[in-house]
Amino acid sequence: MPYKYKVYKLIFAFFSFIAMSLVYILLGFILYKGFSFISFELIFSDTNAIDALLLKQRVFDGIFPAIIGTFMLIILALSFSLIFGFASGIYLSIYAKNSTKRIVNLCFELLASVPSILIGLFFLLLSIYLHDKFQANFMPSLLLASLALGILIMPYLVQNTRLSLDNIPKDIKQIGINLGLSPTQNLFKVLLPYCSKELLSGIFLSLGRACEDTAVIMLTGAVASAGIAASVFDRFEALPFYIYYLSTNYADEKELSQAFAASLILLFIALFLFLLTKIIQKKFRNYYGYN
Amino acid sequence: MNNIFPRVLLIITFISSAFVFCIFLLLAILCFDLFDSNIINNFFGMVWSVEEEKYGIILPFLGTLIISILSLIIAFIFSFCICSYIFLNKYKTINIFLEKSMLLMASVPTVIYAFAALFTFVPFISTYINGSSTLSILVASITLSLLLIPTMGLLFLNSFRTLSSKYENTCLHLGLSKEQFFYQFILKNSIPHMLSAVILAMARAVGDTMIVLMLAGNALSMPNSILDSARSLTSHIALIFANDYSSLSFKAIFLCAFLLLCSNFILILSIKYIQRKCNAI
Repeated sequence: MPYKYKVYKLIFAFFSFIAMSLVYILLGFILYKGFSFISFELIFSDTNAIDALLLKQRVFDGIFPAIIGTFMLIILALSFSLIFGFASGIYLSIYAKNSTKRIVNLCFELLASVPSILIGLFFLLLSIYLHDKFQANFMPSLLLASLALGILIMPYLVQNTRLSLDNIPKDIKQIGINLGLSPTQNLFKVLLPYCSKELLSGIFLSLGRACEDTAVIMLTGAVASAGIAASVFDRFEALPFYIYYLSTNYADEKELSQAFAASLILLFIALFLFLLTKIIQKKFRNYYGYN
Repeated sequence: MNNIFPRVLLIITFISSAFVFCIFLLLAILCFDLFDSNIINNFFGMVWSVEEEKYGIILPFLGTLIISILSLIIAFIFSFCICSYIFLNKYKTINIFLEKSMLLMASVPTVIYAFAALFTFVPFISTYINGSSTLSILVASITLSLLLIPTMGLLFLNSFRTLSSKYENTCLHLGLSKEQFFYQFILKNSIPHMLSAVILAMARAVGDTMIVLMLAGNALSMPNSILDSARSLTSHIALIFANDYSSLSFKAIFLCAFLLLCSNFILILSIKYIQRKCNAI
């Protein structure tokens, strides 16, 4: 009955249209408001932009500290999780036996499913415990937040590393071994250079995941106004928390427009990292001719 | 070198995969401390009042359940329709547009969805539908469903495409039209995959913090309709005052967190179970 199927298809088209229009209303609203408000004054307040960029002058009342805070945060988080992510991914793909593989994979899947707020809570409780028992100065700070974010993005890195090593064609995996390389030599001389671009795309993917997360940093040291953090033991500002804080506590139009500008910038950072990931992956696949 | 390197990797892998157990154990130990004492009755109830020292965590649990199920239903309708339309439609530009939009949605930060919805959906709904408060379960669920569309949709599309690449030629040569092939073959055979995608989206919905925190209103009372405000487990954790660590209200957080973690683990393990059953068939 083609008549019935046509009705179904119309219903599908209708709901797709509604979903897409909802999404683009939200994104378009942010783009429209963000572009109409954004200005150098909102970002740098009344400080000179070049002085602020060279860290000569401190910016107090702008978005600039939050942008720098976000970048510091995601780079620190990446540096914490990079070794763990790559090492685990390589081990799972190259060295692990099947039974180990299954159990460890399950662990990482469970870790990936833990709500981000619980990771934040875990580190908050850890800092309270350490403070009580050992008088350690491990209070919420940039260090704690980036450790927590590092744990949050680790499963993505592991998964990406494992899959990109697994996807290498079998003849390339075997050729080094047959020519007399040991598995470790083969890994460093053949396999890792072969999939280096894929690994790079995994890094950008996890950076994108790190820059958007708010719940973790909310409990582990993000504050609304702190300037640029001078050391890793200071509290810090970050874009997502800044948006959340201003959306509930804005006092006047200027602060609201700051929130719009901040969300525009955050959206662009997230989209940029995402696009970078996709472009690298696509180039890599075209270049090596699979998929 | 050849022996040391894999061992170092093994140790690092062991440490990094043990994090999830650390989180679980810490929360479990904190909760078992509560079970020993006789204050446990304060936590299981429908009442939240500081004067009576009753901190019922059933309310935020119900809030989580209502919001996530409602948003799951909306998101299922949306993502199923989008994927079916992509599959049945012949025009390439529309298909590419829909697919790229889903990918784009996956990369948008949740706080931006919530922030934009606060200034678009919330005024819209409060002008046209009169509720008790401007922030409501309905707004939170609709916005949350946008977050879930890519999670579900990309998996749906993947399972449709895998099945069709295997069986399309066979079925079309047997005389089915493309529509019949879709409705009578693909939909029936992709039910287990769709189920696991729905459960994955459920885990995502239960774990999301920002949208519920910013849009659901966070009232600690029993919601009467979907236009009332409610509080979820995640936003309850997010709203703690971090200066009274020994109080009972802070200890209620541990139970919330443990409940959240367990429900997430159950969801993920059930996905594993479904997938194993699928493979066995």
